[in-house]
Amino acid sequence: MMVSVEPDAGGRLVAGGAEAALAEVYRTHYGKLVGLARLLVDQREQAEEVVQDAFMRTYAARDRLRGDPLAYVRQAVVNESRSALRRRRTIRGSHLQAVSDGVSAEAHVIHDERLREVSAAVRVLPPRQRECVVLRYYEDCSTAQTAAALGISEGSVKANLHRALAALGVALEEER
Amino acid sequence: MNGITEDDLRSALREDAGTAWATDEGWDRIRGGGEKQRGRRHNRFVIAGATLTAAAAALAGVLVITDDGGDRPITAEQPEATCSASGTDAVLADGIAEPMRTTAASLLEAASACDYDALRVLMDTGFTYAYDDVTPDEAIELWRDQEDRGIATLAAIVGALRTQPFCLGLESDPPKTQCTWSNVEVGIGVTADSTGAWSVYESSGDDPNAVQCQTRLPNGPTVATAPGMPDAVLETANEIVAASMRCDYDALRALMVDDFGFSLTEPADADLAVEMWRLEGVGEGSEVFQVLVDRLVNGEPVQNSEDLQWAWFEASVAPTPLAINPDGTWANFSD
Repeated sequence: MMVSVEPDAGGRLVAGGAEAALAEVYRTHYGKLVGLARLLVDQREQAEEVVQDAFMRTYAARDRLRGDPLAYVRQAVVNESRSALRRRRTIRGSHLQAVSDGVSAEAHVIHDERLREVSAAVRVLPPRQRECVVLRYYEDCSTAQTAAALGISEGSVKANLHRALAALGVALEEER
Repeated sequence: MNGITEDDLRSALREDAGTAWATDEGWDRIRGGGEKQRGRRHNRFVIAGATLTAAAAALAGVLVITDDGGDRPITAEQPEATCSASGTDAVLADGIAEPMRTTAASLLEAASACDYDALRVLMDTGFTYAYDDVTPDEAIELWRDQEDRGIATLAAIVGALRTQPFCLGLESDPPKTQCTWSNVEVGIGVTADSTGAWSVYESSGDDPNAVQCQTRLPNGPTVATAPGMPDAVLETANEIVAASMRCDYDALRALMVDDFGFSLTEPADADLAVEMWRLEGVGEGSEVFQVLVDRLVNGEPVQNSEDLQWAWFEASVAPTPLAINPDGTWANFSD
């Protein structure tokens, strides 16, 4: 059941309505948002934590929500994922190499060899390119939605995607 | 799509993302955690208000009667704050010009004392959090929350401020000087400029100021030229070198034709090319600037008999040129 929430004159979701709207976002988008976090941080358990934290932060600030609550939660998931990665870097004193280390140990299986190669190539993209690819091709975000979620310009999204796709093409050619 | 289809990409991402389900218990945890965060934020205001009241009372010499019948002035003593930057050796590098030095010293003092309120006051002179477009209050809340969760944000800021900054003049209106401190180990940097404004950025962001300009002139400090080269072409070549030495993307863009040809962009688009250079520059030492300088200084200029463009080739590096039109507009570059 979709929850209909009316904004007030200032565009804010009315009291009680914001909570209902967030509950609906949780119910209908939780799995997809965990997938988004999973693709950004590479670790299943951490992805669930990231999404829980993102929802908690959004819930705590629900009085200030304006517009689409999913956009807020999505942005919070991206921010929490970055924080998780940065925390991992800080703790381990290493760069993103550590992220990939966690993946190979994880027991998820991709049966198709081609998809495995694509997936591996996405994982080694620079963080910003990877975020753009995941938001565009997993979350099916438009350029504007991707820009909003990442806090960057639409031009930057386009440039990142262009660069990412070129890099993926090269990486997959080299695999052959 | 260069050997990869959108369907491949979508399928791979879907497989990799796995599945997860929402549960009532999960939502209850979110509500509980969210209320707790909300309460903590509220308590901060209450404590801050109480501290101010107590401090005002102490300053006014107010006495209160205590339970044991004695009296003593109210004091605003609080437990010493701790955070990841506690006890760090807070010393700035020598030779930093004012007022950037004062800004940096104040930041260093506030951060190493874990004093969020002081940091917030310092933001009133102008503050941006370059990576995410957040307000000063949100930045403070974010850093406090990160510290609460064990993310060493303040230590990273202090770590940056202890490094030797890179300072340069910016052609803004009015012109200003900006210093940049970088903590490359954890990817955090700080800038402070002569207006008193400052910013914190993460090096994976888009802030061009986050990049320290490391362009160096190769052997031979002049642009390679050839007989018959028009003054306008030579002038543009020199301006490209000068802009590259400053790592100034905007100055480069001003020299480019709108349909500027860049080897990695299709269709030709000057803005997209510059955007890509910015992206490549972040965290990679502004490599494009060095390539441009090397090409123009070390390359061999020749004139194309068809379009009359002057093109600098550097055969040992790339088979394709950097080309300038006869009227001095910059036409293309291939790396």
